[in-house]
Amino acid sequence: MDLKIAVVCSSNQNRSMEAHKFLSKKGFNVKSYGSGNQVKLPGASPTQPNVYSFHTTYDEMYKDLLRKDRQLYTQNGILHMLDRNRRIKARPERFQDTKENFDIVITAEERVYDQVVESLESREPVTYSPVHVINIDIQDNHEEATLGAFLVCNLCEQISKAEDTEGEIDEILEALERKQGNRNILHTVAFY
Amino acid sequence: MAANVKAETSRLSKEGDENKPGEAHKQGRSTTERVIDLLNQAQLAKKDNKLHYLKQVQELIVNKEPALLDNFLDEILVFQHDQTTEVRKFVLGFIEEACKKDVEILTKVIHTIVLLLTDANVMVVKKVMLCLTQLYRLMLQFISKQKVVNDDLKATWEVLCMLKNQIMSKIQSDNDGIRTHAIKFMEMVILTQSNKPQETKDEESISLDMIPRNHPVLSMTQLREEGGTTLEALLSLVASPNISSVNLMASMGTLAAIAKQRPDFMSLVVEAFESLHANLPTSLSKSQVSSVRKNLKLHLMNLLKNAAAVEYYPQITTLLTDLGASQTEMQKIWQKNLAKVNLESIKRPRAEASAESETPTAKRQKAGTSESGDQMTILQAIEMTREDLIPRLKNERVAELVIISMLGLPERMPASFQETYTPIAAAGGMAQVTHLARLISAQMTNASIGVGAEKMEELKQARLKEKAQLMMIVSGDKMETSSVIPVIGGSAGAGVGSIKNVMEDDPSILQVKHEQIGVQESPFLRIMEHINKEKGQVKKSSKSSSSSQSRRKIKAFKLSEVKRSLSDDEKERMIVSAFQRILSAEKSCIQGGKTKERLDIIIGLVTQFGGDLRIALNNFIMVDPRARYDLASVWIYQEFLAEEAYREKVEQEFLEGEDLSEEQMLVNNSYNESLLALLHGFKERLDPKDKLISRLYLEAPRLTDESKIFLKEYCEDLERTHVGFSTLRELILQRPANQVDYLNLLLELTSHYKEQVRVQAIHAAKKLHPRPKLAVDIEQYALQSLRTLLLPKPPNPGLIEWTDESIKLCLYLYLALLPLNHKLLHELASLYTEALPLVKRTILRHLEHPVRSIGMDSAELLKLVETCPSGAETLITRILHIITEKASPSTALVKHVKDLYHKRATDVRILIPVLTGLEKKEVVEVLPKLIKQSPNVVKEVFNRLLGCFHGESTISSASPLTPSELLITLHNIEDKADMKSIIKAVSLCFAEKTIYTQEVLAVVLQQLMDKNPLPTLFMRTVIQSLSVCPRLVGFAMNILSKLISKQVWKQPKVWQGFVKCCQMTKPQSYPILLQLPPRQLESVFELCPELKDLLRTHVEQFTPHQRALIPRSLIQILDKDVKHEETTSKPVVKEGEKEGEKDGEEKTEAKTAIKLEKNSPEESKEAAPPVKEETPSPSKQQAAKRQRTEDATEAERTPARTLRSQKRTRDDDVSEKKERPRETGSKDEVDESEKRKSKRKGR
Repeated sequence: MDLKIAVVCSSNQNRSMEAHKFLSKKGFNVKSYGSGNQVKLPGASPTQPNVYSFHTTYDEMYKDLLRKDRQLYTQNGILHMLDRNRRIKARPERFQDTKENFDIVITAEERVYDQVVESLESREPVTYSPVHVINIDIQDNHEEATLGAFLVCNLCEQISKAEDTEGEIDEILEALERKQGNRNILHTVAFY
Repeated sequence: MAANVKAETSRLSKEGDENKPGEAHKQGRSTTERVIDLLNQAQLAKKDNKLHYLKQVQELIVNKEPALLDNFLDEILVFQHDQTTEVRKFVLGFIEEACKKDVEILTKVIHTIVLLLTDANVMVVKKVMLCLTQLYRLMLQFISKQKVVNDDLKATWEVLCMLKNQIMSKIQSDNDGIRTHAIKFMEMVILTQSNKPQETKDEESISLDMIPRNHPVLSMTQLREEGGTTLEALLSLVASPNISSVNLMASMGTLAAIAKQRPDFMSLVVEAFESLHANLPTSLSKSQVSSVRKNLKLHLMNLLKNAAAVEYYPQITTLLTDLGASQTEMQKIWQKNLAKVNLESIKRPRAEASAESETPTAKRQKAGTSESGDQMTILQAIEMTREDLIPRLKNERVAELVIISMLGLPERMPASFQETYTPIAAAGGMAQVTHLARLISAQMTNASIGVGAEKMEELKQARLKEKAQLMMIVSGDKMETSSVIPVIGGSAGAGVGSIKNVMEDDPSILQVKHEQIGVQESPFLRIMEHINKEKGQVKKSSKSSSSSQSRRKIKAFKLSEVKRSLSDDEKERMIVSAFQRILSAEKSCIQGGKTKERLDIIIGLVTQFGGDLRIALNNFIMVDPRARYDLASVWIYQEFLAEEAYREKVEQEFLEGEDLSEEQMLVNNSYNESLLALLHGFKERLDPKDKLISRLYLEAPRLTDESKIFLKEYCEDLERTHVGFSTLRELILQRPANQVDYLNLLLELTSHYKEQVRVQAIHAAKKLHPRPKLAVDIEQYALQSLRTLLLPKPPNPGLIEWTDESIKLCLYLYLALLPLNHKLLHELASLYTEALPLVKRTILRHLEHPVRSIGMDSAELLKLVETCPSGAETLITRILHIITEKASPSTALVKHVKDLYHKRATDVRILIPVLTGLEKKEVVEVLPKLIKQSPNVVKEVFNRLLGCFHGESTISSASPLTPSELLITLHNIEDKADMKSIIKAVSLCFAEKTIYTQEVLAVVLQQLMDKNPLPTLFMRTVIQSLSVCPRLVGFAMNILSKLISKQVWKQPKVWQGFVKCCQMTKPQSYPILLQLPPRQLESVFELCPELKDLLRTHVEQFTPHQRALIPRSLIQILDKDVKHEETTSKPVVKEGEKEGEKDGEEKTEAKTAIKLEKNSPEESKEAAPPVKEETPSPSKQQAAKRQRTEDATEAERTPARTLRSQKRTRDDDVSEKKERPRETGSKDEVDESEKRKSKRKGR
C-alpha cells in the first residue's frame, strides 16, 4: 500500500526537509510542511532571526542570505541547508494551508503536533478517512535533524511494512517509545 | 466537500494529461471506445497499470460522461474479484464516486458492497466502511426525498440498514483500525439520525430534520432512538477499560464532533469526558496517556468555543485546568463564546415566539424530550449524590477511605496515574472536597450506587410505564411528534424578555460579566470593591449580576441566589474574626510547614482590607515583636508595593484630569500608617535597648517624614537615645537616598537642649566624620552653628542674651570635631577674635578636652600659633596651657611660641606654658616680667619651673633652672624688678618646703654671700631660711661672722637685717656681736637695746681669763650704766661656776679660738664656711648628721624660748644659756681649732 506521508516541523527548513529528503530517497510518497506562521531562520543573533513568508522560495532565501553575510551563513550551515532544500522543492509549504490528505503525519515537536492536530480537527469532516499524527521530538539543529530523519524513516518503513497499518501502529510506536525513552512521542488519529 | 472532490478530479485529470502523449492515437475515438480500450488493457495489465487504467476509466465515466456510467458499471464491478487489494479498493472508490453522482446506482451495487464487507482483507473492509459512511447518509437523504419508494429502493435501504448494523457491531472487532472506522461510522449515524439544533445555519448537513413526517419507509422516532442507542454504545466504549488509545482518541473526536453539532448531547459528552479523565484506561503507555490528555484538552477547548457549552462551563474549565490549560487561554475563548451567545440570544426571541405559537406540539415535545431529560438525570444523579457526599467527606472518613483503598492499589504505579497526577493545590478546601465528591459520585452513579442512582432508577421505572402509555398516543399523531423541535436550554424561554431589557439597560453587560469572572478569581478584590465603593454601586453590580444569571443558567452563579447579603457590620466582623483565626494558627502552620503561605495570606488580607485587620495584625505582632518580625517586615513591604501601585494609578488618573477623592488620599497613606503603627508598637513593647527598631528602620522600603519625626522623638527619649542614635547613624550610612535628611536631623540634635541627647548626637556625628562626604556636611553645620555665636543674641527665640548654656549648644559639636580635623582650629581662632567676652570665656573654658586630644604635635596647631590672629592670644595661651599641662613642650612648639612672643612682643604670659622649654638665659630674661604678674600667674610660673621637682610630676625633661638657681636669680634681678614682687616670689619659693630644703637654702645663701654687693634681700632671706630651718643657725652664725669681715654695716638695709638676725639667734649670736667693732656694737644696741643687757650678762659670766680676751672698748660699752643690774645676776654666776669646772678645757679653747680669730681674720675667712666642706666629705656628713639630730631636739625648744625670752627672768635665761652655747658652740670651735691647727702644721 502506498502510504502518503507528511513530515511537519516549524519552518519546513531543517527537520522536515531532512526527513523529506531521506524518505523520498527511500521511495516514500512524502511531503513536508511547516506549521508556523512564518519561516524563521537563525540570524546574526538569537533575537534577530531572518523571517520570511511561506511564499518565499528557498532560492530567494538562499540569495538573500548570501548577500547578507556569506561567511556567517556558510559557517553555520544555513546556506548548505537552503541549497539542499531548493533541490527538493521550490518553497516551504504550510501544513494548515494544504488540502491534501495523508495517512501519516509526523511532527518534529509537541508544539507542531498541537498545531497539526488542531488544524485537522478544525476541518469539516468529509471522507472520514483516518490520519495518524505522530510526534517525535527532534531538536532543531543539523545533527539532530539527521538523526531524527533516520528515526522517522525507520518508523515509516515499519509502518509501511505492516499489513494492517492501524492494527500495528500502536505496537510499532510502543516499541519506538521503549527504544527512544527520552523522546517525547505522541500519537493520535484524526479524520479527513 | 465539493471543493475536495474537484481537487481530486483535477488531480486525476492531470495524471490523465500526463499520459496523453502515449495515447495520442486514441484522441480521435469516442469516449466509449476509449473506455472499452482501457478496460481491456486493465484486464490484462499487472497491478500497478491496472489501477492506472481503471482510474482513467473512472475519470471518463464518472466525471466526463456520466451517461456512460450505467453502461460500464458491471464491467467495473467485475474487478471486485480481483486478487489485488488495491483493485478491490478501487472498485469501492469507484462505487463511492459513482453513487455520489447518482445515488440510485447504489441499488445496483449494494450487493457488491455486502460482499466486500466480508472481504478477507482488512483494508478492503475498512474501505467499505468508509464508503458506507458516505453512502448511508446520501441514501437516507435520497430516500427521505422520495414520495414514493419503490421496492428496489426499499430493499436497498433494508440491506443498507443491515450493513449499518454489521458495521456498528464491528466495534467489537479485533482489529484496531476497523474499530476506529466503526467509531467514525457511528458518529455519522448519530449525527444523521438526530435532530439538528434549530438555529444551525448550514442547510446542507444531513439530519433527521429533512425526513418528512409521513414517510412510507423511514420512521423518525425509530431512527432517533437508534441514534440514541448508538450514542450509548459509543459512550460505553469510551468508558470501557480496555479501549486502545487510537480508538479512544477517535471516539473522543467523535463525541466532540457530536457535542458540537448536536448540543442536546452536550451534557452526555461532557460527562463522558469527565469520567474518562478520572478513569483513563490503565492499559495505556506513558506517551499514550499524554497523547490522550492532549487530545482531550484540545477537544474540550473546542467545546468551550461552542455556544451550547455555556452551561457546562464550570465542569469543562475544571477539567481543562486539570489538563494544564491556562486560565487566560480559557477565558479568552469563553469571552468570545459569550459574545456569540449574546448575539444569538438577541436574534432568537422571534424564533422562540413562533415556536411558542404552536403550543400543543411544544407541550407534547416537552414530554417527549424527557427522553433526553432521562439522559440528563444521569448528570442530575451525579449532582445529587455529590450533594449527598459532601457533608460526609470528613477528614477521618477520607483517611479511612484512603487506607481501605490502599489494599486495592496495583504493585506498580500505572502510567496514566503518573501522568495525570498533579499535587492537590488546596487539599481539604471546600473546592477540593466538592471536586472529590463529584468524582466519587460519578463513579458511584456509574456503578448504580448512591442516592442519585437510586432516584434515577426510580424515575426510569416510572418512565417505562409512562412510555408504554405514551406509545399509544404517539402512534396516533406521529406527524406532530416528528415536527417537534428540540429547544436548547428550554427553560430559557421565560427569561428571554427580561434579558432583552437588561441588555438595553446595560450595554456593558459583557463588562459586567468580565467583572464576575474577575471576582471568581479574586474574591478579595470584590470585597474591596464593596467596601470602597458606595453602596449604590454595589447594589447595581449585584443586580446586574443576578439578572445576568437568570438569563443563562450557569451553575457557579447559583451560589449568589442562595446567599443573603450581609450588612457591612457583619461583614466587617466576620472578616476580622476570620483574620484572627488565621493569625492564631501560627503554631499549626509552623508544624505543617506552611509558614510562608500563612504569611502571604495574612499580608495579602491586611494590605487589601486595611482598617481593623491592620490593627489586629499590629497587635498580634506586638505580642512577640522579635519572633514576628518577619511578618512585620513582609507587611510593610506589601503595603509599600500596594501603595506604589496605587499611587501610580492615582497619578495616572490625575494626569487624565480626574479629581482625587478623599478616599484615594486616605489609602495612599496606608504604608505610612502601618510603619508608624509598627514603630509605636516596638517602642512600647520592646526594651529601650532593643535594636529591633533599628532593623525595622533599616529594612523599611521607604522612610516617611512621620517616621523621621518618630525617630527624632526616639532619640530625644533619654532611655532610648543610644539605640536611637545608632539607628540614625546606620541610616545615614546605609540609606544614601535619605542620607542628607537624616544627617541634618542628627546635626540638629547636636545642639539639643538636653545634654545627654546632645552628647550622643555629637558622638554619632564624630563617628560619621571619618567619611569624607559626610565630613564636609558635618563641618559645615558645625561651623554654621559656631558662627551663630557672633550674633548679638542666641537664634533660639525666647532667649534675650547669650548664656553659658546657649553658648555650649552652639559650641560643642565644633569642639568635638576639632580633634578629628585640626584645621578647624583656625576658624575657631578667627571667630574667637570677634566674639563677645562671655563667649570668649566660655570657649576658653571648654577648650581643654578637644585641645588636649589634638596634642602639641599637630601641624595645624603649630601653624595656628605661628599665624595667631590678633586678638586670639588669650586663646592661644589657653591652648598652650592645656597642651603643656601634662607634657613638656616640644621644641617646635617652643620655637613657634618664642617667635610669636618676639614678633608681637605681646603678653609675656604666653611664654609661661613653654617655660620649661626655654633656655636658662631666656628664663632669667623674662623672669622679672613674669613675677610682676598676678600672684596666681606667678605661682603658675613657679609651679612650672619647679614642677619637675615635685614627686608626682610626670614631666620628664628638666627645668632650665634648678631651685637654687631660681632663688639666686630672684635675688639678682632686684634692679630689674620691684622689690615687692621679688619678695613675693621669694616667699613663694620658701613655701615650697619640699624643694627648698636646708641644703638647698645653704647653697643659696652661700652663693649669695659671695656676691658683692650683697643683694638687698640677702639678710631677709637668711632670716627666712632660719625661720624655716632653725638648724641652719650654726651656718647662719658663720655667715654673720663673715659678714662682719665684709663690713656689713656699710649697707644699711643689710645691716638692719644683720642686727635682726642677731637678735633672732641670740644667744648664739653673742660671740658674733662681741666680734663687732665697738662702734658697730653700739649701733647694734641702738637698734636693739635689749641685746645690750643680755650681752653684758653673758660677758659677766665669763671667767676672768675669758674676759681678758674681750677688748676693753667693748666691755666699756657693755658696762655703761648697767651696774645695778649685776646684783640680780649673782646667783646665776654661782651656777655657772659649778658647771664651769666641767667645761673648763673647752672654754679655754674657745677663748683661744676667739683670740686667734681676732688675730688673724683673713685666715678665718679663708678657713671657708663649714657648709662648703660639709657637703663633699662623707666623714663630715656624719658629723653634720649628728649635729642635725641635736639641732632637731633643740629646735623643738628654741622657738618657744625665743618667744618667752623677753618675759623670763634673767635667772632662767642664764641657766639655760650656760648649758647650750657650750655644747653647740664648743663643737664648732673644736672643729675650727683643729682645722686651724692642721693648717698651721701644713704651713
